[in-house]
Amino acid sequence: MTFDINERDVLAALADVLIPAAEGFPSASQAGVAGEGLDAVISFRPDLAGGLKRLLDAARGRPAADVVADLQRDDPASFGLLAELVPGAYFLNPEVRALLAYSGQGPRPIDSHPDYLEDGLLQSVLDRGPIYRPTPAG
Amino acid sequence: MSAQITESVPDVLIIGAGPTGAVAAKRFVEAGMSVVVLEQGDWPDYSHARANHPDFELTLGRYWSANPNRRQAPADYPIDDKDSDISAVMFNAVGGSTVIYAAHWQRNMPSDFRTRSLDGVGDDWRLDYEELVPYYERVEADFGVSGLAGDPAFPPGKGPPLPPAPLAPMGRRVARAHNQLGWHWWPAPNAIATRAYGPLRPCTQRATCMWGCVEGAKGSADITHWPQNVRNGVRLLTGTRVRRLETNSSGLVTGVLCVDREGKENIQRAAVTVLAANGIGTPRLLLLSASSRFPHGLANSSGLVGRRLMLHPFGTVVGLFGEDLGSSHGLWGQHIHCLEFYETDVSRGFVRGAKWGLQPTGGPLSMTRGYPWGAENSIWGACFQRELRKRLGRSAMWGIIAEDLPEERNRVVLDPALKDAHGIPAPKLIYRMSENSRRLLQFHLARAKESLEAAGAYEVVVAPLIRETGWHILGTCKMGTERDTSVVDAWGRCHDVANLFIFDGSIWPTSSGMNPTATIAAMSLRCAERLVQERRNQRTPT
Repeated sequence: MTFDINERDVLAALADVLIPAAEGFPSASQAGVAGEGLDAVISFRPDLAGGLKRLLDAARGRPAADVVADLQRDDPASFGLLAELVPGAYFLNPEVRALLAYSGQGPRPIDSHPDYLEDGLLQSVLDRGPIYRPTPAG
Repeated sequence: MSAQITESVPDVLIIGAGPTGAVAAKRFVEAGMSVVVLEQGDWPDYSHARANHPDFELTLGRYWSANPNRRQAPADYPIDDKDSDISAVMFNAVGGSTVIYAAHWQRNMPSDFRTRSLDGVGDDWRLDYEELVPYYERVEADFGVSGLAGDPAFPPGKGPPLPPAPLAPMGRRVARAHNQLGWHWWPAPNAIATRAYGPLRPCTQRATCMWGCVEGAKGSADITHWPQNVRNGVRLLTGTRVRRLETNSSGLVTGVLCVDREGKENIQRAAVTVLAANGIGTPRLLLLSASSRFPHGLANSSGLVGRRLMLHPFGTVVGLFGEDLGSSHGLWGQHIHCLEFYETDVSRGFVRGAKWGLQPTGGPLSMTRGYPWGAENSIWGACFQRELRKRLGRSAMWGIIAEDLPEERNRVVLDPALKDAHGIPAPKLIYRMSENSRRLLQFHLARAKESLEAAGAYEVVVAPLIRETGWHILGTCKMGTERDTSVVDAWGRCHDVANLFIFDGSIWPTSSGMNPTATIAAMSLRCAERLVQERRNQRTPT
């Protein structure tokens, strides 16, 4: 399923309501959410395409802020779709990931140093003694 | 079309290749018994594990979705949950729900086996903690459990085979706070390898444990048990769904009628049959196996098959901290656990308790979702990036497992209309959270909020309760002594059918407030051990 320029324009406007430029970050549309971001998300999540088409068709010609507010209030399923797709595409953008200092769920090997022994942390627990009720006799 | 009858008659037929079936099959084949296992799913496909790819968070809810009604994979059967406060979640594959579990490896506490004696509620188990300890130790070795001996929430004893995961910055903060409060905490037990161990590789703290561990570090039964079981001679038939159990004129189970992935029906015969299909799948099969001799379902003279369903209401509390905790990563999994409020204190207005597990919060997309953040903490608009930076890597959350008490009104029945892909009636859940469970959960959510505030959180979010938390499906084929008040005896043998056994979480008389896989596995081993010991005296249909 593909999206034409008009649909992408509508998506860009809606996406910027959710994620405007701020704090040195680009807005959603500046980060390509309605362009390559949309294409990438749909390639990963083709199940979102049909609902997005319908949503964009219904939103055409209306102020984007009103559409988002209405969806948030009255149509949680459609709003949920938008709220998954827009940040999903936003976080695929390398500039955004760099600004967040986030490089994905890569490996962080376990440091074998037993940090639970630092500062007598564990000893305090042991000093408080058992907290379980033993098996009753009989 | 008539079903083909298998020529071979194995010593044991196991229905379900989850942790229960895995542990039992291992013991049976070690004892020299012939074993056939029927599993409706397939081997998990780890090509869907996307932790190394930028789309990880976008796609984690598809193949790895915990809700079979959402996932709708060929191995899944639909579950009518319209009349349930909680939706059941599970994974139908080799390894069962350990494929997607968070691997919190919690033993039950001694009081969990004696709720009637100690608190006047539920029922005492037909065994006690001390009797189960040797089985806990053996399954902990097999699943590659990490943790630390000496936890004062349990009687003294041997610890798991691997050292615990780090507390991590989040765990150290909360541990310090709990020491100031005088509250319990301990390095958490997980079925996650902190070092190379047997088939498991060391964890790399990607916080992706529930959505396909790319390292192969999580102790899920598809990794820890099934390859070895198959090498040892267990015959594992995947893509095979059981329609019903067959009985003879003596009232013994002769085998099962099953259908393979091509739709071909077979009758798999067996000397002994073990159900290991979870707290929904097992009663479903028994109810599907009604006959003139067993008009209310097989092994159901008590009328309790399907009843006393317990689902562990689940709560989450998230704290926001002013420093980088590195909490996009970690074990998902748990870094520390807290059992301070696990035991009953009637002054709280309820009985029994809950276990808390402290865990990371994940990557950026997880910072934007309605759960756990709640609609009232909307991230959208001008504040988006500011809120995102507040949450990402700087938040930690307690997951709270609340004990659910058994009530006969909460149950699994056969749905009168809904059917699976093979036309087999689907299960329907009828479940309402009790007042005790609601009070218990509210109390624990409030204490967990205090915990995170004491740890320095400048803001704490109590997550909305959501439906899709029915991970722990327990109690629907109760263990007991009397045949009119229970379904199976202390060893999982059905009172009504001498060669039919149930080893899974269905047989729990009460639910505890713990993640149940440790005890499910230990109970399966204990029951299997007994069956091995008594096999010379076992009645069989041949």
